[in-house]
Amino acid sequence: MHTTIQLTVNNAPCEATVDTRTLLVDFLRDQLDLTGTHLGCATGNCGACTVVLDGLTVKACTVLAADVAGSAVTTIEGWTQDARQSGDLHPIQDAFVKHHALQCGFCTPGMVLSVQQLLKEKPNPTEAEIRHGIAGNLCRCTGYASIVKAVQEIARMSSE
Amino acid sequence: MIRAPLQFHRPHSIDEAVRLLSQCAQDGEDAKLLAGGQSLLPSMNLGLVAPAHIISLNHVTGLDAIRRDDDMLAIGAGTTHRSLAESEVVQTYCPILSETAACIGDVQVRNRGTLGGSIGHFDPAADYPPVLVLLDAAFRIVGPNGERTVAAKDIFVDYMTTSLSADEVLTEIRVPVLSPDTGTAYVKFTRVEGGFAIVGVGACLGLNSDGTCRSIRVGICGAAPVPVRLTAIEDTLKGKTVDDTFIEAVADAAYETAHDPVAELHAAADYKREMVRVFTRRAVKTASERAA
Repeated sequence: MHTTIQLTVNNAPCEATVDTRTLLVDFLRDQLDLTGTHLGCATGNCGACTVVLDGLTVKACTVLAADVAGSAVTTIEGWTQDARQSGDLHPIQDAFVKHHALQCGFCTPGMVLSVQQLLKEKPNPTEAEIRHGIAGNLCRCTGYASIVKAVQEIARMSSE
Repeated sequence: MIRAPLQFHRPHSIDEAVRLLSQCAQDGEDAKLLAGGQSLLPSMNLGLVAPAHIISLNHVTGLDAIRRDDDMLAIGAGTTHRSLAESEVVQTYCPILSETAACIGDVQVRNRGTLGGSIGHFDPAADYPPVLVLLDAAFRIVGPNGERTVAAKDIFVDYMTTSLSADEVLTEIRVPVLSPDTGTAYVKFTRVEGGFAIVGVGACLGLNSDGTCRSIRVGICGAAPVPVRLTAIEDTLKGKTVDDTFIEAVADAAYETAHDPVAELHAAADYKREMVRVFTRRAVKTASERAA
């Protein structure tokens, strides 16, 4: 069974026909080639598939594509678009590189989107608030310490 | 990936959702309501459930409203955990519900998951049920024959089983407005942050002007397949001085009541029973500090 959906993806209108059982993460990756959104556990635990749906982060493996008709989805590609067009990294990406806040990088797109939501709501988070804000994103490489440091630096820079 | 094909429905009203449910029931087809989907979608991805129809309640108008109605708060079943946690009305008049919502899952889960979805799914380790039981919440349910209201003690029937019929939709949850001097707390024991509660305890404590107990209510998950309420001791403790002896009496009562906890991977039954005592102590202590 299929349905046609209209939505906004990375600020551009998008119309597509999807199998009704298609997950948002699979729709983004397989039909739109937006492979920056990763699929990890498919059970809502790891957060690798985190995207921004109507302004809030969600795990795209727990959302049906058919259910987001009319919504606005932003993936890591859309969120870093401006920086990439000018040949730069986004400040959050910069800080991640500087502090070795990634090793294999599988969790990074989701982690970065969770960090941007955290900083939007709490521009100067405490360490506990940072850890609370990224609790939905599992990283098996870094042990989180370097990610926390990266977020602290971004907060420090933006408050200067 | 979901392997089984499904028909997707997107009603914009409760009546339309009920009609769709009734139609599926008449046709003998399995239908599931999608209300956030933070448990349903993972279950479908794992192949644990494979409904032929998904009826999404995520677009029903007004299902996420929160309003004060005299001495009650009426909360739409489609309210997300995030909205409950951040709602000033809920924080003011029923803070225990905000505190509970804020400790569910993680940011992304709270952004998408809903109160009604959690109740309908009724995982025995979910955080809302013990709190709604202690609050004597009321549940408004709409079905093909109209509307009915069910009390919290009657809605949670057994392990992952509620008294909702297959053709009914939970639309609203009503909780009492608590007096400002009531101290409340919800504490939970998890293996990692955001995990399901191995044990979760909610406490609601009102004090008289002389510091004695005016009322105490305690709800516990993890002690049995359904939430447990310490009804017997709640009455006998009225008028007693709230001190360490008082708190210990509640913790002991919780331990005695939790005689049948369900063992799980990370916690044997007798260990869970001991944790019921520990976390009841913490919940009542915190509630008493907040009541003072």
